[in-house]
Amino acid sequence: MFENFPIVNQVILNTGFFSLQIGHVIMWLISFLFIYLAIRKGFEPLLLVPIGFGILLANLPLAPVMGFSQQGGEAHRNLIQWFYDFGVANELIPCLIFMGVGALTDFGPMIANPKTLILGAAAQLGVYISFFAAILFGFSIKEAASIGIIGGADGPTCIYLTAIMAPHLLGANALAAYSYMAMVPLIQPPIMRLLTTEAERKIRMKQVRTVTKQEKIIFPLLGTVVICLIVPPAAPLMGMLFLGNLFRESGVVQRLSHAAQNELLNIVTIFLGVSVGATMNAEVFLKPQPIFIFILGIVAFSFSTAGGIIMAKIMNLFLKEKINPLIGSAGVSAVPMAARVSQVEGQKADKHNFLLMHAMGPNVAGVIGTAVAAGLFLTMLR
Amino acid sequence: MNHSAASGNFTRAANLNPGKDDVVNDTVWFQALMVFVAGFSGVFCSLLLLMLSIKAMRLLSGKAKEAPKTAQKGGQVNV
Repeated sequence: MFENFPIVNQVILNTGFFSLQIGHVIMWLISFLFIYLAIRKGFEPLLLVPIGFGILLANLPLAPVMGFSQQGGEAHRNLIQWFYDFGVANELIPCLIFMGVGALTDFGPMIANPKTLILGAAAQLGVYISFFAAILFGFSIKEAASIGIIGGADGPTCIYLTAIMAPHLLGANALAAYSYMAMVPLIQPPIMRLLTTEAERKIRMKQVRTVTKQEKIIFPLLGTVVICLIVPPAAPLMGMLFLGNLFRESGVVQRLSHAAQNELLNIVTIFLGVSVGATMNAEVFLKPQPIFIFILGIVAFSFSTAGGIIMAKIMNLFLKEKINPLIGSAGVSAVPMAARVSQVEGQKADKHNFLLMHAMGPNVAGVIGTAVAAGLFLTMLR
Repeated sequence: MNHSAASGNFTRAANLNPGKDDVVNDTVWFQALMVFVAGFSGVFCSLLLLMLSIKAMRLLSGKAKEAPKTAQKGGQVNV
């Protein structure tokens, strides 16, 4: 077109238009959908906005944002590749997020009623069911482990395990985990109603006792020692979670606690979201795999919800003071949304029944349970 | 069986040796079963131990301090 003006010709040929493919446009639409859901529907906006924008950036043809560029014969990392390699691929960001989560979490309800830890363990059922189902779908055993952990409903743990076990599935797994976490209020209630009777939903539980400051300070130390001795590979996640919690409960390092739950958490969330989004380029994402992962993700969430409820019903066979089975579903670690769902469903049966504080116990126990499940996968399959 | 889901290739490898294929399949399923059993029971054992540790902590710290206070209320001081 501009054969007589080679520089102009070169500029025109190097615009993205000539390399644009239908796959890129589809990924833009997916990106716009996530940004829309985050802004208009409020679905996990802190993550879906950066993830959505990361998808857009990664699908701009010729744009040097992800991967490597040749400069003077040498390969140089592009901008988001730096974030990815040093933050996600080496497992730094999920652990820093866990520190922030620890600084934000009150383990009081769980310490007050330690039986709720059993519900948190039972709610990992979906992790193992979908692990099996993933193998049935033709995924390798490591890929299946990374898909199964979606059932734990814990984003950082899912990313941590996937980055080690199956980094090529990172985008799809993270997106499935966060999408389903946002949809907990839609996924869980039908399962909760199906597995419980009206009478069970009306069970009122005794008020949670007050936990002393001393117990709250000892707990992160105790938890670190117990969990990390049993499952050493879970130490990076558990260590950071309990360090953040010790900042919070000690009361003497408020600046550190504040930094962990605000500035640090916000900064790493930006890097995490953009990096995860940028792994989803059209060549990788527009394949049958992500569809299978999304199917397996909902299987995982459903079985995890059911696992917690069924365990609560089993425990009621032996306990003098009955527990409301609705709090079992909060064992999936989507904090605090799963606990809120228990509260809402409980109040539909009895509007004077307040389950929120009881449900926070299995909810935070689920965070520990999912990290332990990830650690055990690493022990067995790494 | 070709477990190459990573590349999005779900086609099975040419089955030149069906017996060997079955053995590989069995090995994968056996490993998966072991992971399921060991993993799920491992999660339970870990959280059960944590639960017992919390109960022990309560006995050694909080509850021990609260006990005399409750006893005083009822006028049954055993000190």
